[in-house]
Amino acid sequence: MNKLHIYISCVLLILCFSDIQAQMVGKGSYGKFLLTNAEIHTVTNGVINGSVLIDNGKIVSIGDVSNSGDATVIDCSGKRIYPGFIDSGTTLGLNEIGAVSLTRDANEIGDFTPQMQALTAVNPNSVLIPVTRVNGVTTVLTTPTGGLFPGTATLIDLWGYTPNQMSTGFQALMVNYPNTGKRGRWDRRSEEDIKKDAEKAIKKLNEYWEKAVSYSKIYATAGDDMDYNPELEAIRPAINKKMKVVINCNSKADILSAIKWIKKNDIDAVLAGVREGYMIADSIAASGIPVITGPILDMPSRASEAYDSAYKNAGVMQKAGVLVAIQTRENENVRNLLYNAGFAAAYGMGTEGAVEAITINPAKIFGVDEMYGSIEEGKVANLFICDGDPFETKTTIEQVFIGGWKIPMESRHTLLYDEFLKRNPGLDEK
Amino acid sequence: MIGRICGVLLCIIIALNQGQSQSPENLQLSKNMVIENVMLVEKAGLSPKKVNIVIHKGIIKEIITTTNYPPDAVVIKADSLYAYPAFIDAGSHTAYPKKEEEKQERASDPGNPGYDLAGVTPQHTVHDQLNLTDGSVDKMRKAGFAVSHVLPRGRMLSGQGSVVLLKADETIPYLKKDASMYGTFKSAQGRVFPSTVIGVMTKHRELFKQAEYAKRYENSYASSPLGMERPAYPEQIQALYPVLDKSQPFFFHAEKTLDVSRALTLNKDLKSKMILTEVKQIGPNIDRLKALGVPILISLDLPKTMEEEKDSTKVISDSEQKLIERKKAAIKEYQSLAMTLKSQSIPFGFSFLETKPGDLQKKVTILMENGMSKDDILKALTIDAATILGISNVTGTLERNKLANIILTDGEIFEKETTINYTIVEGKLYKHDVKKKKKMTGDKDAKVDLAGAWTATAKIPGQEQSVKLIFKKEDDEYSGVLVDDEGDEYQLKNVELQGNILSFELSFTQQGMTIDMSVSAQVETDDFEGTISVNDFGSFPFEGSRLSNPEK
Amino acid sequence: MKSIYIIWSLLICSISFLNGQEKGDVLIKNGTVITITNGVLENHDVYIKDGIIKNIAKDISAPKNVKIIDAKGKFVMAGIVDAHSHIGITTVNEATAPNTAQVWVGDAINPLDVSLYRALAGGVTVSHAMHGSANAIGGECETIKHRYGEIDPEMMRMKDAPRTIKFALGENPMRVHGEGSDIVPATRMGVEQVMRNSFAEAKKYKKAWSDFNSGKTKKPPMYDNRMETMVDILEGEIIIHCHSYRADEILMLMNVCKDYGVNKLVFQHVNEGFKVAPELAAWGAGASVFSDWWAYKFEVYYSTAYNAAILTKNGVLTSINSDSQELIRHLYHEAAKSQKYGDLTDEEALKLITINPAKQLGIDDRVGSIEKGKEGDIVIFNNHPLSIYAIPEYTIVDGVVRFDINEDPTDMRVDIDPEGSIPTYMHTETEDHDRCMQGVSESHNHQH
Repeated sequence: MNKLHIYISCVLLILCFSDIQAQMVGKGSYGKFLLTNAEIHTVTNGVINGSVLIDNGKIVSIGDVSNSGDATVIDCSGKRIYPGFIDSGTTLGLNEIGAVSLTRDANEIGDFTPQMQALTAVNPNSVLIPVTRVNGVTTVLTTPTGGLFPGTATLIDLWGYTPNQMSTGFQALMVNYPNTGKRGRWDRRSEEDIKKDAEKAIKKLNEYWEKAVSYSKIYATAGDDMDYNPELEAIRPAINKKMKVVINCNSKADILSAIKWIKKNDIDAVLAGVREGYMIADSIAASGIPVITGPILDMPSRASEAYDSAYKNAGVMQKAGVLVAIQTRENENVRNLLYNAGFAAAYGMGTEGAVEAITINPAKIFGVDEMYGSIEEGKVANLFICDGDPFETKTTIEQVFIGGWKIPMESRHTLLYDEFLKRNPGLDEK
Repeated sequence: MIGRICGVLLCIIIALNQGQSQSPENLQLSKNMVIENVMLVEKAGLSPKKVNIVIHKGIIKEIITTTNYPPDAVVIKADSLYAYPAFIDAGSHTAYPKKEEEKQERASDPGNPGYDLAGVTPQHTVHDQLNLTDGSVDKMRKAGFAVSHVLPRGRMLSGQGSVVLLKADETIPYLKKDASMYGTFKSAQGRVFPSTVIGVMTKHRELFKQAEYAKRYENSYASSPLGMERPAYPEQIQALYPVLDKSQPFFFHAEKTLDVSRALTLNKDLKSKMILTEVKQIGPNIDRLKALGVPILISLDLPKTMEEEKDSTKVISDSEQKLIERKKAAIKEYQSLAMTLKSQSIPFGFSFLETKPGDLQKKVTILMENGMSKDDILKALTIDAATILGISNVTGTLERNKLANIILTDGEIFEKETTINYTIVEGKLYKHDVKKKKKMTGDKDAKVDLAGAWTATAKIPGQEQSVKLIFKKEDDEYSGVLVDDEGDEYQLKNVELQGNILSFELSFTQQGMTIDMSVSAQVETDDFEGTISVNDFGSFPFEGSRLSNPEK
Repeated sequence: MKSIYIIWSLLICSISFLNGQEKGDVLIKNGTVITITNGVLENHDVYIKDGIIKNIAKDISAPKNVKIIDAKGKFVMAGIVDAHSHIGITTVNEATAPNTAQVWVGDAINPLDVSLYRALAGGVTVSHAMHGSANAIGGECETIKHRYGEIDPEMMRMKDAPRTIKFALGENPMRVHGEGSDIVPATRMGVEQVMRNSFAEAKKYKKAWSDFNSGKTKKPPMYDNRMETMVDILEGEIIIHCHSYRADEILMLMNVCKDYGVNKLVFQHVNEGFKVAPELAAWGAGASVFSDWWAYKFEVYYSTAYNAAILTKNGVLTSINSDSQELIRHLYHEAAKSQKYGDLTDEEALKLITINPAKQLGIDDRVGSIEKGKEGDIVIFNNHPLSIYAIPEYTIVDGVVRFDINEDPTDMRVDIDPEGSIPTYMHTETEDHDRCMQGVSESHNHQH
């Protein structure tokens, strides 16, 4: 039995060899783990001192757990355990190298491409993924970008060899609400042109939506007899409130306009971006619509706005009663989710609030809080062990678990460090 | 004047010319002219006195109270009129029509594109480009100007400007032929060096340095050429010699705070006699300007004061209101720039690179609202401008022996109701259409449809001429043609209908002469009424009525 | 009309503490003083007089009118120095030739850039405003002091700071000139030859002038600003700051410089510096790196965030820079990442953003640490600067408080364009990184 085990391991090792090369990191291990003597930051039930038992990918029990004998024990004395952090808006897995367009899969051509599925193009072997997860980010919403209806986003765990293994099952329709502001420094359009363009875009948005509503109505009676119409078909679940709609909007005017649009069309929506939310936090709270905001490490949105307006934004909205999650909108540096949350914490949100904004809040927003977002019995074992406040750069994230897998704490960055810290051969040695 | 085109357009011209030739004022029948019984303001700041001005060959010969003047003098009865020194435009592109920029060929070495592509053309002058029959000249004259400092269009070193009298003579009436060098921060066209302000600044420095060495070498070569390599410097470098030795002032285009700071910094290296041009904002540079004695030409393109939000339903937050107040303050600062310079005794005039001459009264009103007196403004527009341009010995005031550059007005200058009836440029009289325009009130919100065919009549003294106009509407944009009685079509330009005010232009060339017409009329469903103005010749009533509706 | 004036004058008052003075006096009491070069001093005072640090001790008393800041429980550190930024200038790239050594971003200083204030709010008192990386040899840069509130560009210059020039290797010059204009360089081989040609030409130019000046020739050579700058580099008057990523190109430039006797060299970005750290240390070249940027283009795909740590531990003079108007606001946090990625000590980490960049800019005798006689550039934090909870509360430049968190009006613009529009929302997501390629292709500037 034991020999067979070694044999199988060897075969697996050989089979996985190409993947290991590609990612340059080792294998994960799966099974029963008992994390003992830890300070457990459950998020939903305060801090508990004790153990966490992981089995079959789930958190089985918490607190005073006795070892039944077969679990691998990891002593966490003096250590903390947090639920895996969730980044609510990234392009991780879709884009690889910014300037190399053929490695970028987030932005399809066209204004109206709701049928594009992010999950299809997630590259499980992206070099960026290990770099991200060793910092305790276990789960990300990865989104298509560009156009009015860029496609469908997917919430993935950062472990697995196929997109399906990574998928949490949650998907959301993305909408880029027309931006009535400047697109950037290089945007030389006159104020009037900007307004006109935005009006045109809103008209278009409404046209698409109305079309999708009619399609959905007809579909209810005609069913599969309908002509092939992948765009409208992709929106249908959202019309029937079976899929959430994540709506990107940032300027004060656009946020207010988007809220009206959501109410008018009765959409199960989430606002994303919401860069100027702090200006109208009460109105957002009153709407009851949750918010994914970020990046926190961002410039003020206007030359006349305060230097720390982006740092404070999340906290102001949360204080006003908005359910807030944080996103980085990053790709290769999703790992900085910790520090985006950290800055939000320092600038008014508080550590606890900021932790919630990257754990239980996104889980609630995505409707997966039964399985994700906190350390509770029965939830997916996405968690990590660290030696202090995870927002502090001095803190080491020692071990990450995703879906019960003890993942290798390696990435291209750590491997290059190991290789080059004391390079051999060194100077002028051949 | 019999040309190919025999239609109504030509008739209009002929009619106009006849009209002009019969007018005694506009004919130089004699070398002598007298402006009789006029209220003369000899120079800015003096009070008017009733005199007779005797003009001989364009010079103010005498200012007398007797009627002891040459018997052959043409006498202009000016009993109810005032005479002021005509205005001097210290910098503009008047008489220098804009040419479409030629598409440049791509430089094979973008880092060394050659002088022309780089925008380094200091050897260019405005001489061969000047067109004193250009419409811009008449517009300036109507606004009261007799002299313009014409700056060339171009880039970082555009070329040399000339000071000219605003009249069409057989030869160009220069007051100062090579009056100035004109420099800017404008980068090269296309992606060649210098493409940015840092490229332009270093290029200015390099050229001046090159010129300095070149001039020195040329001098030593001139004194003893034996055994020396022939200098052979490019004309672009040689053209900078007068700027180097400060015999030619360097007019430098610098609009805002940063431009002004940079121009002054640059001039620390160039050491030219710099005159900042088209300035709108000087920022913190006032002490520097004062110390350096650099004169300023303020852009008269003064913005209007921001209006209060009329829509009372629009909610403006405190923070938004603060932003509005800051903008208002910035506008105020620009509007008061002249006043600021005056209080600091920094010499200044006005430049008109971006200002329509017809807006002069509006801009003057803004200056007055910000503390400038009429005398201050007149001074800046006359003697101060003359001093900056170095022509104050011949013009800028109406003293004896100076040029007869005079405006005759029907009231005190810069009063709202006052109009300029005549502009006299070096003794040449230009009469302006003094008929107080029937105010076209217009209705901004009126909805009239212009599309269709119209018949229109121009009421020119002695005759009436009718033409047909056909307007088309596409995507809210109007276009139109004029059809003469021979059926020839002429495309109308800039057809616009704002509310119920229609305007369009038409120009064509007839025997080398460019005829520019512009029409402005108020439309009432099936009729319109307005004026047509033609070149220098004035405005005439223009009426029309509808022939057909648009084809639906 | 009157109300406008009242509001305007109030507004002026609210930011007037910034205006009109270059050097000031201030006494900071009872802080935890992080000197950078002389350890951490608990409960110490720092007295700045006439813009210069006069004394560091306990219980300093100062003349009556001197502004006193109570720093009890706070952390007093030397002002942060950013060795690579593009704020405070209106032009970054003169992207028209592989060698534009004749241009100087000091000609484009923009004291009106509100980014300067935002950098101050992040504790940065000095930055190195650089030319971009479009050209193999770019323009001269300018070391600026963040005297925000002053409107005269001259006031931003750090007077007498050594001259520096931007060089650039790899993809950017290859793309702009090779791909863009179809001229050399289209490869890293070409980049090397641009460098070598320029130095060789400069030697000839120098000779031509010395022949003329000694009377050997009569006609002066054509004055050439590009060559003038190149000659100054050869003569050691200018420090080269070179945009670089790959190990091979880093080695190449060190060889070229050695061949021409140039020994003032700092590599910027230098993402693969860790691969040739022993060579960099032996040559004596500096490295100014990002804390964690990578993978935004192919030449930084094989990077590591442990770069700063590996370089430091191999003895390379290393700094962490921003190259971004966003990052410059939290360089203390960027430095802190070197503790996550490579366990640097507090002192090592803080040196990356203070004395080390000051050394790379040749201004370490004036700024970069709290020492008697140095310039009074100070930042005061509420928490330890390497903590995520650190918030800069005061930033002092030459003894003048330029940022005070308690007097921080929202709208900090110092100059309003009478013809400009009232600020509206501007989307930054696609360009929040750097401005290194600004001015090259306006719609495509997401390139570092």
